[in-house]
Amino acid sequence: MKAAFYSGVSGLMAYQEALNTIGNNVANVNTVGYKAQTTSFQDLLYTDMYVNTETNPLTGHGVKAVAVGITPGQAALIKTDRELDFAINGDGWFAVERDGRVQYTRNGSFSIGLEGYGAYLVTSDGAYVLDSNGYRIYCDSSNVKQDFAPEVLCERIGVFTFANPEALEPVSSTCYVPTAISGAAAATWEGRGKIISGFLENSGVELTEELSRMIAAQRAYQISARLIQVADENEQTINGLGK
Amino acid sequence: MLSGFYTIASGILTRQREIDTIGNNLVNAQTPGYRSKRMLMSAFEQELMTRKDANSQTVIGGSGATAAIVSDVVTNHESGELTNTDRVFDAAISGEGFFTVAGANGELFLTRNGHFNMDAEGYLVLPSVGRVQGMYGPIRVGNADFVIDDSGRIYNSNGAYIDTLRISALPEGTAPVELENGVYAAPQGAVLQNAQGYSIIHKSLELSNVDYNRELTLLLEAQRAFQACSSALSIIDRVNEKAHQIAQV
Repeated sequence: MKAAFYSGVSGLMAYQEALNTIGNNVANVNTVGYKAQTTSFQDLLYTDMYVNTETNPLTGHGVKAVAVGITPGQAALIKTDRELDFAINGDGWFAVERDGRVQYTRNGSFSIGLEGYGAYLVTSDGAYVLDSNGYRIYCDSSNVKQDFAPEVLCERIGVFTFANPEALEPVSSTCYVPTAISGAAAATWEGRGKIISGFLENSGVELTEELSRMIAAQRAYQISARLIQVADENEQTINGLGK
Repeated sequence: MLSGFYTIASGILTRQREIDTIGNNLVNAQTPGYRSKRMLMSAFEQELMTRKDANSQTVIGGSGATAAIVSDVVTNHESGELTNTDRVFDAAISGEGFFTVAGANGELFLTRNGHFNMDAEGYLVLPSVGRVQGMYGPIRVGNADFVIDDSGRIYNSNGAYIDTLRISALPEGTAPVELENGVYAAPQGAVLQNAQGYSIIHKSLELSNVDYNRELTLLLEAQRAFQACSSALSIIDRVNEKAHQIAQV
C-alpha cells in the first residue's frame, strides 16, 4: 500500500545522488583536467493497483538516479608559462602508468622524476607519462635539457582517443580508466601537434549550469520530503481513528 | 447503518491511491520523457461489497451504498519542455511519436526518453531497456561522433549516412501500455505505424511534463479529502457508539 511513502524515499535518494554529483563538480571547478559528471533519472516499476476494474490501473513506485558519465569536451586552456605543463587542444587523452596500471587524463601538469641516472617524465603525483607506444618517457639524467625540451616532449608524449569517451570511469587524481562501453584506447598520430606546452586545461565544470541544476535538484528533494510528510500525516490520521 | 463505514473506507483507500499516483508524478518531475498520470475516480452506485471467506461469499454492505472507486489511471501525453544538453547521445522528439527500442527478447518498446547511450558493440541504446531501432534494425553508431538531422537521419563524422531513427505512432484510438523505466508498449493487437509530422532535435532532451504547481495542489486536495474521510469515519463511529449506549439503557 503506502507507495507514496516509498516514492518519496526513492525521490530523496535519487536527488541526494544528483546533489552529490553536482557537489563534486562544483568542488572541482578549478581542478585541472576535471570533467563534469552528470546524473539523469528514470522512473521505477509500475504495479497493479488491485482494484476491480477492467482498465487495470497501475501505481508507480518512484524514481532512481542513473549515472550518465563524464562530459568529455574541450575546456578552456589556461596559460601557465611553465615548460612542463601540457594541454591537448582538441580530442584525446594523455596516458599515465600508476602502480602498473594505465590510466588516462587531460591533466598535463608534468614534472621530471629522477631514478638513478635516468629521468622520467611523470605527473605531479608521480605516475609515469607514456608515449604513443605505451612506453615510459625516459632520458639520461645528463641530457634532460635537450631531451626533455618542451618541443621534443610535445612530439614524444602519446595522445589516445576512445570511441565513446563519455563512458570513461573516473578514478582518483583526475584520471580515467576505459570501460567496456568506452572502447579501448587508440593512439592517435594526428594528436601530435595538438599538444601545446605552457598551457593547462581548466576544469570542464560550467558553474552556472551546475548551480541551476543544484537548485532544481534541491527543490525536487524538498518536494520528495514533503511527499513523505503527507504520507506520514495520513498514517497519523488513520492511527488516530477510533480514539 | 454499517454501510457508511465501508463507503467512507472506500474513500480513504481511493484517496490513498490518488496520493500514490501524484507522489509518483512529483518524484519523477526531473525524469526525461516522463508523462504525468492522473487517477480517475468514479462513484460505484450499486457496488456489492463482499467478503470472501474460504468457501462462501458474505455480503457485508448490501446494495445501495455509494462507494468511490478507482476507475482508471490515464497518462497525460502532452509534450514536456525541451532542454539543450549538448550531449551527443541525447535526442528529443518535437511533435507526435515515440522512439522505438527493442528489448532483450526482441519486443518493441516505445519511449519519449531520448537519453541514449552507446553499448560495448557501438549500438545506440536506451540504458536498461535495449537498442534503439532505426529503419534497418538496431543503429550502430560506432563512436560518439555523429549528428542527427531534423528528420532523424543519422550521419557519422565523415558525413556518411548510417540509419534513420524509427519514430513510431500508435493507431488512432489506442493508448500505449505503461511499463517501467519510462517505456511504453503497444496494446495487444495494435500494429505500430510510422509517425508523421515530427522533427528530431539532436543534443536536447524532453523533460517530464509534470507541473509542480498542479501536482502539489492536487496532493493537498487529496490529503484534505483523505482527512475529511477519516473525520467522517470518526463521526459514524461516534454515532454507532451512541446507538450502543442507548441500547444499554
